[in-house]
Amino acid sequence: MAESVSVLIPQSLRTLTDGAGVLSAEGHNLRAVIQDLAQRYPELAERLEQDGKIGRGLSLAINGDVVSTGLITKVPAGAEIAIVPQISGG
Amino acid sequence: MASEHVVVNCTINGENQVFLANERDSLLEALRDRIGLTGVKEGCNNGNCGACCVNMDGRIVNSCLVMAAECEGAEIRTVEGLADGDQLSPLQNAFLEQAALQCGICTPGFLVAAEALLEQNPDPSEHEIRYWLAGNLCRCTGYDKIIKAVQQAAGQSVV
Amino acid sequence: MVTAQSPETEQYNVIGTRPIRPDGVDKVTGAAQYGADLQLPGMLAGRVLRSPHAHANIKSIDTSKAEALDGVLAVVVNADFPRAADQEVDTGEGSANLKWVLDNVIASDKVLYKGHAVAAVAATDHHIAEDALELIEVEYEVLTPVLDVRDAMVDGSPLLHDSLHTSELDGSKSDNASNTASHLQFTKGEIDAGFDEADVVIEREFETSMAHQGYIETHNGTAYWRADGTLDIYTSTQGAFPVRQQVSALMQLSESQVKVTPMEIGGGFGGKIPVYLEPLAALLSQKTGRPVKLTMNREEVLLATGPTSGTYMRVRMGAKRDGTITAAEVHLAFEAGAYPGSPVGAGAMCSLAPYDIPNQKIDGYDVVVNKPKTAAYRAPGAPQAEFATESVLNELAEELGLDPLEMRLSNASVEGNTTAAGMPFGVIGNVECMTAAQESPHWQSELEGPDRGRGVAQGFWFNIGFESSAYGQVNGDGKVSLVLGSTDIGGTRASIAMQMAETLGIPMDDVRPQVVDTASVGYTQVTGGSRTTFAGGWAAYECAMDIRKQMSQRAAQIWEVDEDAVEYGDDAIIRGPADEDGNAREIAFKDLAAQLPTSGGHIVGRADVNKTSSGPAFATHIVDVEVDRDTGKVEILRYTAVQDAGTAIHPAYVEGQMQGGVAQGVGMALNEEYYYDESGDLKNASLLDYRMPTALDLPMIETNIVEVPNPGHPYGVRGVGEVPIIPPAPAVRAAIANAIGVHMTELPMSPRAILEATTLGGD
Repeated sequence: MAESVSVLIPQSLRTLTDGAGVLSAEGHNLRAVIQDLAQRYPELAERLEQDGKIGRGLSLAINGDVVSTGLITKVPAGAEIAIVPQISGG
Repeated sequence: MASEHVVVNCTINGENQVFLANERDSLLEALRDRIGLTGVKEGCNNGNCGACCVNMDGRIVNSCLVMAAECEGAEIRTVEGLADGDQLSPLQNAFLEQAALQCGICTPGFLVAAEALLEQNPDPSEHEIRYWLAGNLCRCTGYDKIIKAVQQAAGQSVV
Repeated sequence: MVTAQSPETEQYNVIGTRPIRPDGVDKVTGAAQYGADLQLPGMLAGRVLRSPHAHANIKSIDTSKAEALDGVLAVVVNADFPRAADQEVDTGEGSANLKWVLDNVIASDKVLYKGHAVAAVAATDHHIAEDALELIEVEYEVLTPVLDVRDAMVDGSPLLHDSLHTSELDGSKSDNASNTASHLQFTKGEIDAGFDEADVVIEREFETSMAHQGYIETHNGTAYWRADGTLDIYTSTQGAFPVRQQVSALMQLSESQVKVTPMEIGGGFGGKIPVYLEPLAALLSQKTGRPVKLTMNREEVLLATGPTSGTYMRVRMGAKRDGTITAAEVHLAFEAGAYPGSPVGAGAMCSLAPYDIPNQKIDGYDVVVNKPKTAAYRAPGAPQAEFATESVLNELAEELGLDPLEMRLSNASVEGNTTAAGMPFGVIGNVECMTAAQESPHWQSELEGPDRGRGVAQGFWFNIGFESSAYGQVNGDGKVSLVLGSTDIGGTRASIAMQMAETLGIPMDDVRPQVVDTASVGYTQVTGGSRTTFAGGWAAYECAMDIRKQMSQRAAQIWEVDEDAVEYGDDAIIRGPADEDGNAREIAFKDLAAQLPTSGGHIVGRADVNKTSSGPAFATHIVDVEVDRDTGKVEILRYTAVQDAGTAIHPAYVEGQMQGGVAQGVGMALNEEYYYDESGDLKNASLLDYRMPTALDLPMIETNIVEVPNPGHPYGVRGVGEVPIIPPAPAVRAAIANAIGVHMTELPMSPRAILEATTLGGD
């Protein structure tokens, strides 16, 4: 059975979720989670996955750690997925 | 706009050197491009950062502000002349032990300047060290460990 | 020199000690080869022609006279480059539009800032190249420049890019073209209800100037394009692999055709991640068939590279009488420079992170102006954003009559709290830093004397891992040649080699680290974001574990025993089961290394890691200042920096990062600014007038390393380089307020600014 995770939607993306701030979704990896979200929020899914990669200018963080292995990154049960802008360091 | 060239005879790190300088060459350019002493660094090319400083006839100069053609007969010492063979100078050792460098680009200038300080004033106060080295910019260290390295080389106890 | 290990690192043999760095001797004798030191046979010297205007259309460029000059071998302009498709290219830390990357390297139809490159020349020596620049004729149609972030955001403002529309994080774009490239927003709780709960609300506006990374080594780039189509690049860069990606994309080459050799680097602080000269050198080399070296002078560095964003910021924060912060609203408008891509996103995410504030609203705007394209600078975006938020927090504490550290402690983020961006914190040392600051001799001391004041501030930065590679070759003498892809800016050869030595149980001197080119090691991300000791160390750890495994396997083969029965001990002794006579089977690492060639061959350990875990870092700084009311000059009397390093691998270099960050932060606080006139001419493009701190401007900087090990790293490392640049500006501001009762609203708080604020009455 697929695991349930929470996806935290920043204010700037709530135009794509009818205003919802936290979504519940299922999936063993990020791609599966996004595919699950696509059923209900196709525009959000299109923003999160572009050309088979995480959408332009965005990073995804699982339980606070920014992922670097793309959409195949495994998502543990009960995880919180945050959507954040890409960041860089000096 | 063709440039004239001049022959320059001088002593660099104890060796006689004869080189052909473009009349537009600064001493910095001549040391780096004509003689190959690239330990002398360019940071600003207008005398503000001290990365290029060398000892010329017993004085610390920014070699970017000295024309190569002016160096006829001069005695010049660069960072390459501080160690005695494979024996580092006390100041060089102190810089390593105190971790007084991070990127290391300003280090040659600091070493040449600090060596001249300790020749003139073997037991400088912290303020005297800071004042003397105020013409050398370091962007990595915040100066703390550089000051301590000079204190160590001066034989002072360093906390 | 303090040599004792901290209690946290006493369990280790190498970690926590202070060995001399492996590259140290070369750097005190002048032997180290930095980018500009390179000489290749037949090498040409290049120079770049730059725009005298901040905003202009290029009508025509005539290079014929320059090309005719004796000694000039090639002149290139933007049109000579392969056409950059409208595609994204990975620039080391995130991606950028390839056309904009190329246009920033060399302008196409428009120049967008003073100093924008327009043409490049290769000649037999640099004097001739400089003469040639004067012979290039460029016809400009001068346009009105946009220099202030707020002016740029106004409808009807002159546009830098006709095709630029404001994009929202959700992917939507504004109907009209705009200088505002993007907008993002984070919220948490109910902002209005939060302010309703507050007893005191303070709102302040701030302006900060662009400031430069100020590395002492100017940019350089050497290229050799061979007849067989392969391209060698030698450059002082924070990331050889990102240079390879950008150059190959711009030159339309495959990555395998390009080899980038990272030379020793004279400072970067984020500013040596973009490419500027490398593509120009590559094209000039292709045209001439000879190696071409380009170098910038200091004026070019200040005009056309770096800096970090100037900003306009507004912060409103409310608290109850007991100091509980109920709401905070943050508005950040960051100058990106000529092309989109300011660090406003990171600034927004850092701005309130040290505090668990239930109701937050953070808006960030990325805005183009006619100034150089900004580059990463140490904790990009955070020094500005946290200057604003920390300053308002300090004023709230003052208004409420609370101790500013106590107020911070009572609102501090702890494990399990989530930021407005939705990032939950794991094990962090936020509270530990505040507590250590409270207990410090500095905070406990009395400050006396007129016009003197004390200030305190907190700082937060993420720190991230990502890709690093390490290969280790076990030599017959028992030493390990460690090969790294990370440029060593501040002692990372040492800090990475120490983690390998610790893992193998051998002395630090027995690990010989080298930084190599992109053809000789696996993909390694930039030295930046405080990731190198963290991820590079992790790669060295895994590489050492691979060596341990292979050494154990070899011992098992030699002993003819089962591999599982052999163990590699932390004392570098490999032990197997007793032999038939009951004698212990054991062999030291060194002795086994000597037998490798005759027992099956040498061993190479290998690790390519891509670490997703982060190592959030916090810092608390305390500063005492004295303000000269006649001149407006602020003197730093005493400074203490407290910081959670997780585990301090090489404490001397951790202290060095902290002290260096403080110095840069103090420069940003007091003196460093990009001073433009109305035409967009930078009036202080020299190190005389762009005033960085000298040895005389700073006291000794007291350091207190807190160690709350990061559970997301084998040795508990957090990055250390970024966070110490954040607290200085708000701490100095608070100290000035404490000294003379004036709350400054701009950076830098230069003598001019202080005099204006005091003579105009301040607030």
